[in-house]
Amino acid sequence: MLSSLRVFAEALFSTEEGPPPAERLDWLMGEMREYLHRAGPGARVIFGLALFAATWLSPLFIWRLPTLRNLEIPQRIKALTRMEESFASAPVLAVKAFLCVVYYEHPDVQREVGHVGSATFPMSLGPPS
Amino acid sequence: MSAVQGFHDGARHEGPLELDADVVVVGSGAGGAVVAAILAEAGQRVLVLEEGRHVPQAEYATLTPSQQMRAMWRDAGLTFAVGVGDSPVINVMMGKCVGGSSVLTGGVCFRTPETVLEGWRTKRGLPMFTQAHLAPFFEEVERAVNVEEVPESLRSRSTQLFHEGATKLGHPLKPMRRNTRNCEGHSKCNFGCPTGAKRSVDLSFLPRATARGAQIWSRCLVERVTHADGRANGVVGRLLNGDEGGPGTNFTVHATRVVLAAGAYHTPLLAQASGIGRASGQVGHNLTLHPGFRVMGRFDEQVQGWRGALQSMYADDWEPEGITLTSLFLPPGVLAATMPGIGPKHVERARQIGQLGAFGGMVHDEGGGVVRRGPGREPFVTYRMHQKDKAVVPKLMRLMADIWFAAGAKEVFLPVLGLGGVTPDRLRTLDLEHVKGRDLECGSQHPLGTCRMGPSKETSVVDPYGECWELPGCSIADGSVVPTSLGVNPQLTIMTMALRIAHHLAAA
Repeated sequence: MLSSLRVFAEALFSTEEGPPPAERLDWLMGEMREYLHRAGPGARVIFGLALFAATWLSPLFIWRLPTLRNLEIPQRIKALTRMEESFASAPVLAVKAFLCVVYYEHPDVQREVGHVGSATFPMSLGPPS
Repeated sequence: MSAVQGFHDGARHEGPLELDADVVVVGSGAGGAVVAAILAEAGQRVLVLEEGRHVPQAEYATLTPSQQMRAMWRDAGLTFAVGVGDSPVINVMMGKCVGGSSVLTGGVCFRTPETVLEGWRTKRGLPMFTQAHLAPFFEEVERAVNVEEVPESLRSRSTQLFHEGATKLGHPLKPMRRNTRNCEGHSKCNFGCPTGAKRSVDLSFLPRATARGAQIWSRCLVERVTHADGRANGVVGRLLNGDEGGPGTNFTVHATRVVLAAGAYHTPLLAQASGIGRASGQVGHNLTLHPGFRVMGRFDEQVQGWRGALQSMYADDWEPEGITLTSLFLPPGVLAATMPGIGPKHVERARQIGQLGAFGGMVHDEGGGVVRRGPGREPFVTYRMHQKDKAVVPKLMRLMADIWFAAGAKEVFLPVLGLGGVTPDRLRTLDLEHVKGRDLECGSQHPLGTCRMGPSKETSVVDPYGECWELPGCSIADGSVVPTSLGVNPQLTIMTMALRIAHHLAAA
């Protein structure tokens, strides 16, 4: 699941200069792994289904074969954008929301969006319950 | 041994556990903490069992919002009520920690509105619920948690702008009351107050309980109320000391009184597992949520709505139609998630989150939710939005959009999936009345009513003092006993009803 999530995140957070730095994506994936671990099994299943749908269906919106992983980043952006603007937007929006909640807590990203002074990381939460 | 006096961690306990108490309270939130304090002060041996972890207040400031969600929110914030029919999926946020959801509220305190109490008296068979009867209980809770009006100086720019817009349209907002002391306006109430200014029950009622000898066990999953000769005599469950924090060894508590206060999602599950409520068939039914919708406005100026109190003003001018507007703000990630686009377009929009104002609107709902046992530890919850409630949502969205535009917003973001930014011209042509329920972004922090109070076991789960009709010795004192939706934030009502129940038990 995490590798598909990274493929999605590379597109979502790309700028004109390209995808975010690899170490930032590494941090994001580490946080997402921990987040999913703490979410209940029901939430994991729903999220997994949304990611599966976005990964497999979005290429069809630009007349390409699945999956999102097989597309270059500019094409991924186009595919996900088309799906987000379509009647079938829910899976893309769900994955996007989940990624954004964590990604925008990275101190560098917070500086980029002007939300300074609220991030404290990283820390270990200990074992989940 | 406990690190803090009176606190114990079930996840660190090895082997089975057997304890005795006069009263065992299941849940340490707004209801359970109040009961624990009052009964401990009455000289009873009180034991509080909490499924979540104990995160000391000093650690709140060290956690980012998403870390808080992972550490202290149930299901890491991913709890949903599945919409039935033309109803939205609703993200229901609840605490799972010592202090429960009171740690995660905005601190908003409303007394139960008179129109609601009138309904309880005339339609729900509860004639004792008058303002005069409840006033001493409200006053006692308000003193205990320091309910005060939010000063103007703490209003965020986002709230100021919405107030300006509402005033231009002839509906000035009113100041809120919250349970705070020396609030500095960090706008992080929903993620545990970083300075301890919010007097949540972990900082108010629970210390009173432990000072009088109450013992609090975190990470203890209660599975069933035990009984003998038709009377409750304790609880059984499992400590969360298993693999990866899962259920491990068994525990047993013997007590002469059991008080369930696990909230409107989990109290009914415990009641069902314990054979309570079969006569009425009401356990788990009648769930109300106050479905909530956020509408944001984008301004040319830097709003930086995260500077100031998270919640400080409200409008109840439209309460007769079932709409209450309350100020709020959101962490940057949540704001960014609502920005349309993927890639450069999204990133460019996300860099504008400092220009966003945000306000919330909630619906005084008729209910229609059901809590059922799910395949795992969490319930499966469905919610069928009443037609009347669904009908007010377009009005709520237009109303809030008009207020943002009156305040000078260039575009608004409505809670409709995939809609993107909406200009005044576009708003006029939008067919909001026909937006499908599944396309609405909806959240709730106010689940109520799943073990409601009433005059008989045929129509309710507990009597007017919270005692289960079908299991003497077992009381319920949380949001699940609230007979109907309130139309306002419920924490003060929950604490007040729990206080009334606790004083009754103490006097018995």
